[in-house]
Amino acid sequence: MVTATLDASPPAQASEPPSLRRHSMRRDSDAGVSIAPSPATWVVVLAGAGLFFAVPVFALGAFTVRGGQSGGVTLGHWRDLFGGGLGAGAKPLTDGLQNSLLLSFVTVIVMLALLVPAMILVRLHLPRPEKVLEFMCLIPLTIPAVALVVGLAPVFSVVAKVFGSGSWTLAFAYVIVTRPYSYRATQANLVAVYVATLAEAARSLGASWVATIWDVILPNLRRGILAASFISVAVVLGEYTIASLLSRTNLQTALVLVSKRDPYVSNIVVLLSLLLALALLFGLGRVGTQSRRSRS
Amino acid sequence: MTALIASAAMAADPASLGATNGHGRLAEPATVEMVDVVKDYGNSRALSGFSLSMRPGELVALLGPSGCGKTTALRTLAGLTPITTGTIKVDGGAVAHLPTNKRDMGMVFQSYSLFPHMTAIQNVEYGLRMRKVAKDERHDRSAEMLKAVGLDALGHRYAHEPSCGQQQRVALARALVTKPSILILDELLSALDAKVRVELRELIRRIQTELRITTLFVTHDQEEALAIADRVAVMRDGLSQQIGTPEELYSRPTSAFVADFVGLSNRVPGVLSARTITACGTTLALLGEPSKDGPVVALVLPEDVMLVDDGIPAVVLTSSFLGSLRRTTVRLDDGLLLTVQHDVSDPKTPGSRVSVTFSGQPVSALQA
Amino acid sequence: MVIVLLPALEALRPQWAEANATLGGTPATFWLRVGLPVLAPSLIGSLPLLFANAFSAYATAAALTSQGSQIVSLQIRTALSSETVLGHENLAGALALGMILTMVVVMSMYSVVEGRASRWRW
Repeated sequence: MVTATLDASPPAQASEPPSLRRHSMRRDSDAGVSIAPSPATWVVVLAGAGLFFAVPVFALGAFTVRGGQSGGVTLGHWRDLFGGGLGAGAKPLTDGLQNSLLLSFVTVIVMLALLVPAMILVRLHLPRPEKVLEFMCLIPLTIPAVALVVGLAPVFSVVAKVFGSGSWTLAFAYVIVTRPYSYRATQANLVAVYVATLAEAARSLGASWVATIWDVILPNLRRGILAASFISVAVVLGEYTIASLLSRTNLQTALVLVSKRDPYVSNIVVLLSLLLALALLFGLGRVGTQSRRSRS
Repeated sequence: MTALIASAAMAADPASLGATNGHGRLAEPATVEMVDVVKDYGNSRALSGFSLSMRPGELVALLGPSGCGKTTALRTLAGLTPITTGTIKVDGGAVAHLPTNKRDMGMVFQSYSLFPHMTAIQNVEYGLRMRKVAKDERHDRSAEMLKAVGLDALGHRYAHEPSCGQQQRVALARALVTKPSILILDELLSALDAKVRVELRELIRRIQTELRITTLFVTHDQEEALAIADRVAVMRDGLSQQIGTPEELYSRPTSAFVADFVGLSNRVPGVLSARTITACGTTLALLGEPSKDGPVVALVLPEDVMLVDDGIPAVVLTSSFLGSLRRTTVRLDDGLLLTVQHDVSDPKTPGSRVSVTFSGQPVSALQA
Repeated sequence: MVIVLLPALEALRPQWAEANATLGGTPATFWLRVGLPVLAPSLIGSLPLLFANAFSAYATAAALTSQGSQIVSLQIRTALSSETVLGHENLAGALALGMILTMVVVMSMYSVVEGRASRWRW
C-alpha cells in the first residue's frame, strides 16, 4: 500500500444533503421520483380554488367603492365610516367592536387560567383523568351553538342578576365554545415537548414545582398557548349565534343590524374583519413554522 | 420474541430459490459502473466525482459517516435522485436517463416503506403485479419468497403489524421476488435492535450469495460492512477514500481517515528508513510500498500490542470487557496512548503499571 | 374537510412513492393502488364532519332571513324569541335535544372511521 498524507486537521464535513427522513411529499422539489402533480395541473387547480375564494372577496371590495345607483368608483363610503360622517349610525358598530374585543380578552384570560394548569397537572400527575379531560374538552364540538343557547338561556338570566347584563358575561359561554380548539392547540404542544421528561429533569436538578412550571414548562408551551389564544380570538370575533339569541351586542350582531340599514358600511367592516382574521391565521401559521424550523 | 425470530431465521430457506426455481430465468448478475458522478444540491455538493465499479454477483458496502454522500450515491444508482454530471452504466448500458421504474433494481429502504393498507403477501406481489404477471404465478412466487425469508406464516398480516425485523424481511422479499439484476440496500438494518440486526445481515448475505445478485449496501456501521461485504468503499465528503476487501481496509488503510473509521489502529509516531520503522525503541517491518524515508505514523493494530513483563513502561487508563477479549488503554511515559487487545483472564485495574511491546507484525505507515 | 385531510396527506410517506417506483410502478399506479386507498378513510371520514357542520349552522341562515323557520336552527330561534309563540320555550328544548342526539350519532360515525384511518399512521 502506498503511504499517504496524514491529515492534521479534523475532516471538514460537507454540508449535509437533505435527509431522507425530512422529505415531505410537497417540499421535495429535487427528487427524481415525486408524486407531486405537474406544473400544469397544480396551476389549474390553484387558479380554480383561488378564484372560488377570491371572487366573493373581490366583489365585496368592489361593492364598497361603488358610487350608488349611478355607478362609478368612490371612496366616499370609506371616508364616511372613518371620518365620523355617519355619526350615530356607526355607534352600534363601535359598541359591537368594543364588546367583541373585551370579550376576546376576557375569554383568553379565563381560558388560560383554567385550561393550561389543568392540562399540565393532568399530563404530569394524573394519567387516568386525561381521557376524561379530553372528552370534556372536545364535547362542545358535538353540541351546536343553537342547542347550547337553549340550555344557557336560563343560566344567563341568573348571570344577569349577579353580574349585570353587560355583553362581557358572554365570555363564560365563549370559554366553553372555544375549549376544543384551545385544548387541541395546547395538547399538541404538550405532547411534542415531553413535559414529563422536562419536569423530571428540572426536579432532579433541585427545582421547586413553582420554578419547574414557571421556568421550564411554560416557556416551552409558549407556542401552544399563543396558538390557543389566536384561535380563541378568531372564534370569539366571529361568533354570532350565542350573542344574537341571548340578545347581547357583539361585533357580528352589530354588523347584521347595520347591514340592514346601510349596506356599504357593513360590507366595509366585513371586509376589514376578513382581512384581520386572515392576518391572525397567517400569524398563527408563522408561529407554527418558526417552531418547526427551530426544532430541526 | 427473540426465540420466534431465531426460529424464523432458521426456517428461512434461501437455497429453495436456487437454480431449481422453475419460474422463469435466474437473472444474470449485472456489472455496475459509476464514473465521476457529481451531484449538487443548489450550492452544496453531495457527490464530488464518485466512482465505483461492481463486479457481477458481488456485495459492495458503502461505508462512511453521516453526510458523506453514501445515501446520495445509492439513490443516484436507483434513479431516485438525478445526477448533475457523470455516467452510470449497468451491464455496459447507460442508465442515468432512465426513470426509476424502468431500471430493473430491487431496493430496500431503512423504514416505513411497506404499503400499510396491504398484507405482507400483497406487498410482495406488488412488483410482479406491475410486471403484469398472472395471479396464480404471482401468488406462488410471493409465497415462496416469503418462505425464503422465514415468514411464510405471516403472509396475511397487515404490513404494520409484524415487528421491525419482520417488516424488513417482507421488504427484502418484495425487492427480490421480481428477480432484479441489482439489489440496493439503504441502511436497512439501522433501525433494528442489535440481535435482529446480526440475524438479518446473515440472511441477506446468504440470499445474496445464493441468488448471485450484484448488491450495493449502504451503512454507517463498520462492523456490519466488514462482516458481510466482498468489498468495502469508505466514503467521505462525496468521494470514496479507499475501496478494498474488508481485510485490506482493516489492516492496510491508506489514509488516517480510513484508519480511524474502519479499525482501531494505534497511531505510533516513528521514523522510516529503508523499509524499517523505528518507533518507541522497537523496530517494525513496513507493510506495503515505501514512500520516502523520514518521520511517519505507524498504524499498529491492538492485537499486535502485547502486555509483557519487561517492555515499555505504561499506566493503565481504562479496561473494557468484550466477552471473548479485553481492550485496555494505556498511556506511555511520553504521553502516547495505546489500545491493547488481550486475554480476558488478565484484568487490569486503572492506575496500575504495566509494560507493553509490539508483536513484530509488519505495519502500514502514513506520512507524518 | 381540509383540516381533516391535511394530517392524512402529511402522513403519506415519500418512501411509498419511491418503493412504488423501484417496483416498476408509475405515478398513476401509486395513486390508484397506494395513495387513494390510504387516504380513503380520511376522505370518507370527513363526510360526517361536513354533515355535522352544515346541520348545526345558524349564523348565515339567521342573518339572511329575518323571519321564517326553514331549518331546525331557525325553528329554535322562533321558539325562543318569537312573540307569537310565547310559552313554548320547551319546544326549543326538545328541538335542541333532537339536534344533539343527531350530532352524537354523526360524530360517533366520524370517530369510528377516523380510528380506522389513524391505525395506519405509525
